Amino acid sequence: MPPVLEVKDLRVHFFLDEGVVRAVDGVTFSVESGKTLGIVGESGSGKSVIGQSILRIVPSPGRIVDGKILLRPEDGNVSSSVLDLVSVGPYSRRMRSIRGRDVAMIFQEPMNSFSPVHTIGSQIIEALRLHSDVSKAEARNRAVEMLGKVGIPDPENRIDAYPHQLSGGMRQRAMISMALVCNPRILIADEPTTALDVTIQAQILELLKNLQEEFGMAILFISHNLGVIAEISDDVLVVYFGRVMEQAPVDTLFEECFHPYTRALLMSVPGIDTPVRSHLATIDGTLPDAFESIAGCPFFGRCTECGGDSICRDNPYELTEVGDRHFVACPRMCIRI
Amino acid sequence: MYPHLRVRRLSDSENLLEVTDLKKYFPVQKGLFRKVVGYIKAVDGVSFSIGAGETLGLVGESGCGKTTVGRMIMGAYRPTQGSIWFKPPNGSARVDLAAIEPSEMKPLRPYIQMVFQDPFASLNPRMTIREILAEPLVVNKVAKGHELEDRIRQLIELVGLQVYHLNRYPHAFSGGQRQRISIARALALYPKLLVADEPTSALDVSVQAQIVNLALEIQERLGLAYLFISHDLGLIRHFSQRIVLMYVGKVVEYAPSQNLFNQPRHPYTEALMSNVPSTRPEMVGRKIILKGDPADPMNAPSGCSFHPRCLYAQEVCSHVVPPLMEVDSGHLVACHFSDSLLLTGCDALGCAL
Repeated sequence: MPPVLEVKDLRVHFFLDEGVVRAVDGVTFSVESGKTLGIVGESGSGKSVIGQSILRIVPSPGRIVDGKILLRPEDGNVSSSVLDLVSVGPYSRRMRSIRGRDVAMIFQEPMNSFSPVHTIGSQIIEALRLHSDVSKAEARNRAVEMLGKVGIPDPENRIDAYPHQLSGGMRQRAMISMALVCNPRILIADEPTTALDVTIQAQILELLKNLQEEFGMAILFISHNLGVIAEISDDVLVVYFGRVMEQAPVDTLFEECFHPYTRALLMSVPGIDTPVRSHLATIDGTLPDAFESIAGCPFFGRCTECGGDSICRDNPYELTEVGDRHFVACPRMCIRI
Repeated sequence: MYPHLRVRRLSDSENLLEVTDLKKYFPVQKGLFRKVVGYIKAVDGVSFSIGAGETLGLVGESGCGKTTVGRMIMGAYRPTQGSIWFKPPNGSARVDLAAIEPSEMKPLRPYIQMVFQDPFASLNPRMTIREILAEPLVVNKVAKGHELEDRIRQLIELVGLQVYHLNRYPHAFSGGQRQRISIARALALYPKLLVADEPTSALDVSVQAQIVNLALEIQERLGLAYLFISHDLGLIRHFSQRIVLMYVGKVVEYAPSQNLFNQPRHPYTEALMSNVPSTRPEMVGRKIILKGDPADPMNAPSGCSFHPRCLYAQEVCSHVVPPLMEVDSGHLVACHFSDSLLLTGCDALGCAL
């Protein structure tokens, strides 16, 4: 089955007065329908910008400078060919018809992404009526049905609630129902559970999995929480300094990851086999200067496994396949294999 | 590893801090005349104790009152009821922080210090690091001149920063470094108890690990006690000797860390542990998905406030408040059925906390 979304060598740079920040610097991945791709990285790694560039909502002064974002046409629609979202203007009618219709997004804090002066119902109905030709009454029925599907109790009445009248978990459910009401093929979820409590987070993850089974959309799940990523993803992308360090199926990544960065990241979370009150493994140093352009491995200098090998510093960045759906961008690994 | 830190019992009178039946109700006012229409019972009868040099973890979901407890200990809020017994290290008799006048509180403040969640908001952007660290020492007339400079240098090195950092302003530091500065400031007056309210929640995991290591190191060197407030069970488990688990203003379980994770006696503890996402996909654990949201502290459900979400709730739970009872040595639980329920611990649940 061909992937519904293919991102090829995406580069998003921010042109500031002080210099150029290469927020995303050559990222390649693809997602299939019904599958979830997890994107994990620390703050400042560029993971959110990847999500934003697919919807073409990268904030100024950021620009997509290179790469392709290929959206496969809908099944049965033979007339249209594969669409490159990079070639579509961000303010064009075409792009507006894609946002919400084909690609939808849910955000971290639903309080900031809903309009506080409109009811959640009117916002869901607006999304629906923009993209499909339905009457007001029918749109309302669909919205009620959708709110029920995401587990909001008493949807007939809650549809007229304002965002502030709902709890955090309920707001996130309303957000999900708004994103899914047009039955998009791709759902981008940018840290959707970060602001929620553990018990509510478990509810939302469960809900997303069930909805994916029902609607079959592809999910791009962006998070900094390794546990959440392990829970929901089929494949995982580990991002660091705007680059993919490792890509692997979820089981492979958490059991036998290759990249020293992935390993260091996993080690720094206290787990069941970490002795209590022992020293946790840390990653020394900080992210490289954002304005710097690094040809080799961006993790060079913080990596404890390469021992300062000049190969790591000088070898150009390259993602190499080391196993089934398993890619690593570590010069030493690639040379060894 | 820490033999001198033996687990202490609730009624131990040598405790550094002992909180008994602490309550904080915030009035809800409405209308033109600010009529009080109800109370938010943020903290509703919490008791625990902290021994010298011990770490107590206070864990719960947002809105359960854990931060309010920390603020009452700091003296930022006056408790509605209950007492906070603190034993000053100078050998004098213990005092109730909940009842004393602010003027009497002042000489005690150096002993209890706080580290906040957001290192971007808790440091004054107009002061250099030197000024930030000097302020508590100057205000309390602890040191001046050469002595002051020596102490500042000692502090900055204690938290793993360099002397040349002292002339910089907070904006020049990363989140992890700022949190180190907050810790240095809190340590300036030789405290005996550090209240750390979500000290690593704003940080990345690799930086979080650095701060946790630093906190453990400092505890070992200085022998101070921590009240570690967090919502992260994995971190609490790693850090604390004993744990207080709160739900809507009340303590549901209070036990040594090992017992809480391996033999939980409250259904909420069990569910919470099963909900923590695991980084070990092969450990396919049983997920206990709770219905609904945490209760509203303004009108908490009658009886056990957890009963509307509890899998094991029975008739009695909806109208009788379960008391906090000792079910095992040092293990206190507030559940009517803590004896009869067979709850699964962390290992059996397959959660990789």
